[in-house]
Amino acid sequence: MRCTRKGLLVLGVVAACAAAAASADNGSERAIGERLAGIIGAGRSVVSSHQGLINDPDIGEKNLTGERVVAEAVELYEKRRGEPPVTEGMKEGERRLVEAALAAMREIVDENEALIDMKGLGFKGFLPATYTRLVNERFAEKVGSEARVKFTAPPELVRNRKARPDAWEQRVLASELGTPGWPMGEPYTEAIEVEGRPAFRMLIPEYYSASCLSCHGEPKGQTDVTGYPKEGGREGDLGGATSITLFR
Amino acid sequence: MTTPALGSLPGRIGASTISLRITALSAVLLGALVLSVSVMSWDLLANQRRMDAANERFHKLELAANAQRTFGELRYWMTDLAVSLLTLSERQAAAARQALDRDLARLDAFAPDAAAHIRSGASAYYDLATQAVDAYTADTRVIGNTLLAAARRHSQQAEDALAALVERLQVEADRARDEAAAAAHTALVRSAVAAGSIVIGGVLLTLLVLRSILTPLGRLNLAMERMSAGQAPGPLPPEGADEFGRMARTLRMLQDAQEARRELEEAARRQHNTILTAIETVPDGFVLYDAEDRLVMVNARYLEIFPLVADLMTPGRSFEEVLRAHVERGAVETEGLSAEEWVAERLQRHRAGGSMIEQRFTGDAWIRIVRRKTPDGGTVGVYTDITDLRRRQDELEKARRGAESANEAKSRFLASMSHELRTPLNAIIGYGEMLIEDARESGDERTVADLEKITGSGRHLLGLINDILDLSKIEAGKMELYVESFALRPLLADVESTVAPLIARNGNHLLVEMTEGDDTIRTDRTKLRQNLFNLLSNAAKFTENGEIRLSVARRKVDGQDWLDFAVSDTGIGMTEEQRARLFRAFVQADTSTSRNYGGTGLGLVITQSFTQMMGGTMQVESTPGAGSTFRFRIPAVCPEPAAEEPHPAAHGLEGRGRVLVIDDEALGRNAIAEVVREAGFVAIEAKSGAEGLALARAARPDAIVLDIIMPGQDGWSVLREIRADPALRDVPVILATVVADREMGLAFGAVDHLVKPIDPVRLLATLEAIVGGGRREVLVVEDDGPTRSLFHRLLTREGWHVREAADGVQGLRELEEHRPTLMVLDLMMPGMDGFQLLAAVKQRPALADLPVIVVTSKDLTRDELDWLKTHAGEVVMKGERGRAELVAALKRHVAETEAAA
Repeated sequence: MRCTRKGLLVLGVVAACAAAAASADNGSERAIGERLAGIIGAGRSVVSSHQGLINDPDIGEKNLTGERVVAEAVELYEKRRGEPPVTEGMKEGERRLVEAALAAMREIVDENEALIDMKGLGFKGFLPATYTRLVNERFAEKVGSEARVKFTAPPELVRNRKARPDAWEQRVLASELGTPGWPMGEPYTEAIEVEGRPAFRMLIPEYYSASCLSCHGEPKGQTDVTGYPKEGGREGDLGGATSITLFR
Repeated sequence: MTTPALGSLPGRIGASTISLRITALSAVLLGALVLSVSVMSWDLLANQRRMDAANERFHKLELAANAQRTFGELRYWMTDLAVSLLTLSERQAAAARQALDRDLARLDAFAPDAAAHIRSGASAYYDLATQAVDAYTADTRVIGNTLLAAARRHSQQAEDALAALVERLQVEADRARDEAAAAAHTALVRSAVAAGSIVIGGVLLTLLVLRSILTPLGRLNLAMERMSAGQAPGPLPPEGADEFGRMARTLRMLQDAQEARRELEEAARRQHNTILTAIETVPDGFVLYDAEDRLVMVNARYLEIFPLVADLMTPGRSFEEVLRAHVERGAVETEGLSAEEWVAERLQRHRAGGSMIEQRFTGDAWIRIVRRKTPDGGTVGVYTDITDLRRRQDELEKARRGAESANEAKSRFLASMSHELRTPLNAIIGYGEMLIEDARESGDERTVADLEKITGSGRHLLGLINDILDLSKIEAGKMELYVESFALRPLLADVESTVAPLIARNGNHLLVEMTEGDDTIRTDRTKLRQNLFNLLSNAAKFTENGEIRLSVARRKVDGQDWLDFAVSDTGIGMTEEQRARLFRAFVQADTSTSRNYGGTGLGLVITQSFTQMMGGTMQVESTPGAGSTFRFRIPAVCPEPAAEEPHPAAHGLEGRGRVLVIDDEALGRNAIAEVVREAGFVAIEAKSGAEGLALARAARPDAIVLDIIMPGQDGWSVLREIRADPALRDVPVILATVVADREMGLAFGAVDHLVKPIDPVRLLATLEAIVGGGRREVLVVEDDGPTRSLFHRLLTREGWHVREAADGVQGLRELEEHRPTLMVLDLMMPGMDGFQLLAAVKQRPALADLPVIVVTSKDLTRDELDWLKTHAGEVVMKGERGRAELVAALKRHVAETEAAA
């Protein structure tokens, strides 16, 4: 990160503006978060739905491009939220973020096309979660200083170290999202300092869909296709959470 | 099998009992078992311990290996985590870490250094690896690699330590296991060897014991089989203390017993044969019937005797059959009985056994059949042909009768001889003495001397005849002993006075001395008197102007009283030679002496005989020129001769018999009864004649002892009644003379043998003693005329009125006509002799109590004397002293008669 004093000042101002904007527009920050979570989540779902195709050893050319995935993801997002991820009235910052996300989504799929089209290999390991993580990492590379997206889960459900919830995420998962009374899909938001910078954090619960259960479902302990023991979750259970960090 | 040495094992086995052996064997085997088991157990335990140790080592090894594995797991997961960054791997790694910690904690126990080393290495690795993972998570690969490299170093260290530990433990464990295995192997081998040796030893021992039991058992078995088959038993086990030894001993004893039995059987067989042979050899017929009268055995001689029934004599034949056959086949004389009767009688006799009959069989054969019952009920019959015997018996009987009659003739001759010889001499002497008296009275002294020569010769002749008759009587065995009790002193006085003239003739002087005290003697009075007289007259003959001494002493020897009589003189004496010839008949000491001194030489022989008869002995001492002493000693109680032939009328006197004693004087009766009982009889006592008669009739005694002298009771009437009673007539009555008053007893009971001629002086003296006042009428019954006139003159002179009768018949007539005061009766008379007359007299009630004085020259037998005693009041012997006794008796009887009258 470029951290000059001037830059800092500018950033500060911008941040303040953003913050102000954010604070003035907590809802907009929330909306951003939701949007980001939504699109990336959609992409995840698309990948998830194509797992069968991806893991088919007999088909080489699967024609599952980034373009296709993004398109399907946008389609899915629109179906879910009723609007496209990028709308006219979006702020620049917001637009930038979303487009970064989309770009990340597209790039990751493209970079792994060779893997996906590999013939003779059954399980490719191109899991939704893996896709999501890679996307989030690309996103962070793109706009990491402005926003970060992380797909995490409660600690007992996290499979990859990299996806481990940090302290805040742990706390929120344990005491808010994980509690039985938490309304389904309701995100948790909090303004807190991240890396010394004030930020707006959001934690949006993600629930198991049917296709998730093939690796995360029942029976618990059974080794799934990745060689990892299943978690024994049921459809609709809290399976993870998308953690959005919007720096102010 | 030879007996093994006792010290050796087989020997010791053999010496102990079966139970001991089995017990010992069991003990040994059990002991071996226990020992082997305990050794094996010990080995097992030791092995177990070794195995445990090995296992421990292996366990440690395992722990170390575990630690190694867990460390490997840790590394794996850490590596996985480092690569996959999956939380699963993280969790697994954490788990592995914990496991490793646990394992290392276990290792701490035995390898703390190594464990610590490993621990430090592992934890360092873990930390560094974790850091590397974090670095990889944060995408800082370089750091991650670095850290991982560092971690790798530590892990290597830990791994090396682990490996070393494992290696070490492996080696140790292997070694321990090998040791254990080796030890186990050793133990196994040892056990196997031990087991093998125990088995072998046990088998050997068992075989030994078995052999020690079965071998002798088999031998005993064999021996018993052989013994039961009658053979020798063969070799037996050695006799000892164990069961087999005992059995062997028992078998040997059994064998000995069997042998003994065989020998006995053999001996019995031989004996049986001997007996059979003997029975066959016996000249008598022998037959044996069993208890059911069936024939068992018969010998050949029997068959010879009874050839007619020989075919029937087979064993099992009944006696009845045999008897019947005897009769039917005419083998026997039935002597008037019918066949059935004869058979029945013989059968009964056969069954009774113990009989002996002499049966006449056809052909004049006499068979003596002796039957005896055997202890088991059978009957033995012995048949002796006694035809010859009987014939000889008949001949002998004839000879005996001839001898008896000869003997009787001899006795009669003796009796008549004495009578015939003495009677004329009586006349000579009697008349001579009367003439002497007449001559004296008339002062014709010269005639007296001539007459004295006549009477002297007569007396001498009488003496000779008496001696000869005595001697012949002695030699004929007819001299009898007549024992009675009497007092010695009167006898001595009598002898002294009788011998006085002889003494005086040679100018000798007689001394009679007797010791003080009891002078009762029980012996033959007459013989004693004769002895004394003989000795004294001898002494007088051979002594001139000397002293003759008669000394009598009573001595007790061996509890018996003896009377020693000694006649010593101071005469011519005898030499040794003369003494030797002394007691030979008809020999005087010297042929010259008879001429000088007179005498027949028979006196001493007779004296000696008499002494011996009286149970005494005689001896003589003499010094030639100084004198002689003749001694004889006789028992104070003469040993009675054996009981003579019982009186034909008497029966049952020998053995036990009943004797009735009648005496109304208690002392006398008791005395007699005592004597009777001591003789073995049962004595019944009666106090009076009446009681006696009643008892006699009731008890039928075998003899009656009647004391004639019963003061206050007439014994004669009792006697008369006894004789009158047909039931009692045949009971012998013995008159006893045991009375308190000896004089009286002697006077009445004693039979004085007075030999004619009677001394008139005596007669006169006694007659004078007769109490006068009574009628003195006497009937003299005597067949010898001179004797009769002699009595007549004697008695007439004394004032008796004398009637005479020449024989018994006349006498009886005289008696019946007019009963005299008393009767003088001669026994030897023709026709009715004195005995008969006496009997007749006693039968007449009017005359039964007539006192009778029997005067006789006949030597009376005891029987006659006894008879006379019962029938006569007195028996006075005619003879030298007879008259005096006669008169004395007369006196006594008169006194009695007068008292009774």
